[in-house]
Amino acid sequence: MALVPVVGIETIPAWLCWLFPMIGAFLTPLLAKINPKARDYGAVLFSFLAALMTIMLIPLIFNVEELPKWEILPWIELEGFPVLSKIEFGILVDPLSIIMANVVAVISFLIMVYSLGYMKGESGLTRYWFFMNFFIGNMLLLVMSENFVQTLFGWEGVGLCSYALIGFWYRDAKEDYLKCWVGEPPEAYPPSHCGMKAFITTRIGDISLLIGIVIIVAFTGTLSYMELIEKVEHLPHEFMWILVPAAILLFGGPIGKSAQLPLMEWLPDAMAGPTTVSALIHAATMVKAGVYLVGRVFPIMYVASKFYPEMISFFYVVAWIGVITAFVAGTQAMTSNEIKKVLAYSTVSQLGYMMLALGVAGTTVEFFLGYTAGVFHLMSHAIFKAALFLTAGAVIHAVESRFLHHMGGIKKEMPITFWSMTLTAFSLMGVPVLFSGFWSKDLVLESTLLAGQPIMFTLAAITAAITAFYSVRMLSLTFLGKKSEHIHELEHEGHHIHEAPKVMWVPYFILAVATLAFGIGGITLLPFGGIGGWLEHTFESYLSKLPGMEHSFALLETEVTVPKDMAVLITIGTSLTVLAIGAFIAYKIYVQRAIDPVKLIGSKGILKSLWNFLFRRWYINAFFYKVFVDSTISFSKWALKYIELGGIDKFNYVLANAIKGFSNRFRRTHTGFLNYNIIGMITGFILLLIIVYMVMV
Amino acid sequence: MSSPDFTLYATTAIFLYIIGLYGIVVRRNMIRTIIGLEIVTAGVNLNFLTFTILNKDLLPLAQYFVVISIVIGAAVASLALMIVIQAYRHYGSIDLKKMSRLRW
Amino acid sequence: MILEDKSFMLFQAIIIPAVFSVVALVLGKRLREKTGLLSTIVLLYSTALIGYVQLKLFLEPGLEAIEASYLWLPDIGGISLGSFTLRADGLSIPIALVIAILCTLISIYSIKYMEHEHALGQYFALYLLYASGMIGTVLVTNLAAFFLFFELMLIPSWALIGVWGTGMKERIAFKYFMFTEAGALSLLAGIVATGFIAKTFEIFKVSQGMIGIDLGIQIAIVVAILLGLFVKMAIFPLHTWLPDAHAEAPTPISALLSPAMIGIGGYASIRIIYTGFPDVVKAQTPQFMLILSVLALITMTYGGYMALAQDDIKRLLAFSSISQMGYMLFGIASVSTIGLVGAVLLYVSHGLGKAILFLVSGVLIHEFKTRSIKELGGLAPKMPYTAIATLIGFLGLMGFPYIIGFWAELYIFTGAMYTALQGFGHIIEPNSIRVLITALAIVASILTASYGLWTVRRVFYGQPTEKTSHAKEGSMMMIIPIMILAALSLILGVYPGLMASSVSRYISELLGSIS
Repeated sequence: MALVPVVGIETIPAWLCWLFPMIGAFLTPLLAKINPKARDYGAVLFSFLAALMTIMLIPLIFNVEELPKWEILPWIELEGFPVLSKIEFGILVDPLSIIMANVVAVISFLIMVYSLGYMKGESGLTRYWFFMNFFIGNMLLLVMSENFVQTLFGWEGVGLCSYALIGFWYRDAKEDYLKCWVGEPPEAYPPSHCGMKAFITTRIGDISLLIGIVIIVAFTGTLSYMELIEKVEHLPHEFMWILVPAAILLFGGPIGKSAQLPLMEWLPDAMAGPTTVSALIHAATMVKAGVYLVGRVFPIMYVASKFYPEMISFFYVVAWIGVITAFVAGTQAMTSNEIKKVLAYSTVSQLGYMMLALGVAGTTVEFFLGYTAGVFHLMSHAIFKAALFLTAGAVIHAVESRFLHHMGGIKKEMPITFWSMTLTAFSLMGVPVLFSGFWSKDLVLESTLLAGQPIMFTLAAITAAITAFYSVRMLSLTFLGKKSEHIHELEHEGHHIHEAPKVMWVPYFILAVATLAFGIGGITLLPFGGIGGWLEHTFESYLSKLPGMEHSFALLETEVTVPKDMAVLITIGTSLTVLAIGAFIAYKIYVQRAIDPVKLIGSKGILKSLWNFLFRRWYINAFFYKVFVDSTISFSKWALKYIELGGIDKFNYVLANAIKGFSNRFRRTHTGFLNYNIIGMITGFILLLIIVYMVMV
Repeated sequence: MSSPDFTLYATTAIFLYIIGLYGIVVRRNMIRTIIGLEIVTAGVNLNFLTFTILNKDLLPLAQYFVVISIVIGAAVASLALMIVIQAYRHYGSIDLKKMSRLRW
Repeated sequence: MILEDKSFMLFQAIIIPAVFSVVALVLGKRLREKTGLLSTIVLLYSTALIGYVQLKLFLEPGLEAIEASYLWLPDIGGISLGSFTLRADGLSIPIALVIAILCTLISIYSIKYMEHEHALGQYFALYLLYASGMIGTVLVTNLAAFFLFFELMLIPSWALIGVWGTGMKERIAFKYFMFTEAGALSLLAGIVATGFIAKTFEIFKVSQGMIGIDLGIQIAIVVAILLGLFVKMAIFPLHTWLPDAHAEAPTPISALLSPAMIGIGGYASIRIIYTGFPDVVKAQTPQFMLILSVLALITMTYGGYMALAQDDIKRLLAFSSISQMGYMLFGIASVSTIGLVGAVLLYVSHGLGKAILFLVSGVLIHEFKTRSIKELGGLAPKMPYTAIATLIGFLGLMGFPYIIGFWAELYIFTGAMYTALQGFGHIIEPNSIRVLITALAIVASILTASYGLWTVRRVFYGQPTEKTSHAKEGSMMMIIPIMILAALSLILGVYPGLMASSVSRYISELLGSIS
């Protein structure tokens, strides 16, 4: 298949989908001058246009033979460069980008509508709408981009919006402790700190990404994804070893952006931003950018691994980091006291699942299983996690606190919210059949098993149990049981708990319905292999078309250990079992209140230390602060004192004083005494004679 | 006249030179400095004439120089004496050591 | 194709500010701070001329340079002092343009900032002289003339710091003068040696004269020249004059010292080493350029660490400049077309970005009379334009996309990595040490992100402190130049080709002629 860029009409939506929000972002300050309502509705309108554009791309996914659509425009042409002399600017439309773009744009639009209600009455809304639209534009730019440089623009752009929006309430007012601070002492952080932390942590990931990109371009001469796929087969073999560290460094970017270990600590603290921001950026879209990038470079790395088997270590790195992160984050969610933090840890954990799926895909011959699992879970998770965050936002608004122990017993007052949250939480847990989460998570587990990775499978299964546990815990602490004292206080003051306004519950209701729809679609389409099966087929037929992929797969060594039908049964069996275990324990503790968790853990002993360990985030956060932040600052202060001021600067002054001292002493030769002057004259004359004599000779 | 001994005259000139220098360098009394200066001048003049022994053709030139030099020497001496008198009026002494205002 | 400058454009751009400095001196007593308007107009004229030349170079790809040659001194004893040549090519024009734009905008800024100071006529006279010196240094190609303008830059800035500065200004100005002068003497030694050995002072003929000269001598000359230039550029360990000078200088002058002047050292390094001493570039034992890379890496990291430890905002920006000059040196030492273009773009990006930051710090000083970050806080609601500009400034230093700093850093690192992985021609071989150094250099940019974001947070976010409780936005005359600079950074960030295309043409030819 010839990969040549072509311009066409069907792809205009792909250009417009990110242009509209960008334009909207820049128009926001102007609209604000006219009328605040114009600004609000205008902003939502632009995100609606973006969603419209991406929906218009959906028909393309059904004709896989026509894809990819690849269009480029010249951007920067600098002569004389051996590499990078032409950087282009374009779009790449393929199944991956179409699916991702739709997930991003549609969910963004729903969240923008929700924002109309959630952010009502806040100050600084111009800034809010600007960054939200700028975010959507950058995210879609990232999704549609056809080369690494363009991706970097979108990637960093969403990072900036994330920074600005997390720190939206940058006043760090102590009165807003319940609203927008995160954590509890000793790890309580104000919003501006969280924004900075997010930016710097993801920056570390971005640096690693940049090193990887620089190596790749210096080595292959191109940054365009399509060109790289073509070039990979023809690279000289003795230099291929450099691609392995380059790929792993490249993965550093997704580690940062998708909050995997060791860079996961920014995401829980990113909850300092408004809930809409948490839903949009930190659940549904930006954090998925890392997974998206791995999916984008997947064909390149996969083809490379066929010619250079050591490349497989890249995929192992991805898979292991994914599964370990999933486990660690899941355990941290079990003890968290804030509703948004539970969801944040859960997001990290589910992102780990996606990475796991993509990683194991690269190690097998049937790559499309894991690939599909990763993408399907991405889609599925975006829907239910966004809904969970939006419902959490409605609850926070009603209860005026972010803490779980300030909530409780509000099921009667907020029925729609309760049912939306419950249904989407079931999807998260992977309750069978009706929920899309079940299908996608099962696909992940299945592909892990089929890739012959029993340890990873076990870890992933345990994590599923943990997921069930914390989901039930969160649901019951929020809605069930007795009302907390905090709520009684509020009612005393005259704030009664009531259901969210329509502009807020309609979006998350739609999302809950969507997750059900995908789930039911899973059954009804079962004769056709379900949604998962259809995706598998699409990806397989698309990816096999790419250059290099059509070669014989025989070079990959891993074998499938379990026959496929057995694998499906084992997977379903395992997932149901762990779901039951986790949910049952949580049910006993939190719903029936048969066991009191506080008494169970006690105040000393192993369980308490374990609880502390999980509550303090495996001490990873504290570790980073001590080792990286504090030590850097104290080192720089030490260096300032001893090297700069004590060493180099002092040297200057020592030199100056030495000259001054010498000059003081030399002054004494000017006695003013005529005789000495004459001696000086004679001495000089004699010296001159000697010099002349020596030169002559 | 027989050719005068070159070395004798040269040595005398150098001798005069050294004595004069001694006077300038060591003596604190200004009058003695001037005397030393005059002795050096004499030695220099003698030196000039001494070299004509080696080369007779230089004679006229050397004589001219010496005569001019003597005249200049006289002028210098009178000028120097005038400075000494002014210095004496100012400092009340002719001791060089007392006149070290141009010092550090 | 080299075009001759028949209408004296380049000459005018240099001389007119110098001439008008006398006028400003005379009129100063009457006009006081309005003298600034006079200087702005004069500098605007220079900027227009240089901008026109840059536009010509951008639009006509076949045009290599615009030169103007004037007779200076005839040959003496076989050594030609050369002619006084002014040359505008892909390398010198972007730099001259940035200097001219900065001088013009900061002149407007000075009107408001210095309004309560004394002897403003003298201030603007010195300012014009300083501008003239900087533009001249960049445009001449004759080493002797270069030295002339180099010193011409030094003396007005010394006076400006010593009279209108803060703190121990006379002492700091003297330290600055002595340090830079010592460097300039080393530079002079190198230049004179070059003149005698190569029998000419014209930089383009020097490489001819250097053919066949022993490599040790060439390296010695280059080291002497570089010592002088590196003092100017504030490379570790010759940088100690910079924090004091920048912190105590009046802010408009800091905004010229740091962005515009210290980069000239980098420009001169490229001009002199690459054009005049190609053998040194190609040297294998020792690998001269590799040593420069290591020095650059040390400077980058050191500047970053020092910036983290500062409380005085101007000292922080000064150390940040040291770090950025490390980046520029890294690009210069990368021996690749991409890296050198990146170095020039870094000059532009640092010029615009650091000027924004210094001008912002000037606004803060003007409003709150303090330089200490501890005493500032919570300013973003009351000073939105300042906050946005500061963020853009620091993001540019970090290498954030949409701002020209991104392209600068991308090219520098790609160039360095390219030389590390693929070598240069067949002269420098791929070298894993270079790969490691490049990777470490990229890691060092985390420090830039850290001190940048931390400063933004400490100054603009959080609760207001007692000093800042009655904050209001700075005056328009100070904000508008800042905004113009921010807009320029963004425009070039999205389309760097405006400036970069002429640079890359020139540099690729330059490196082509070496290999």
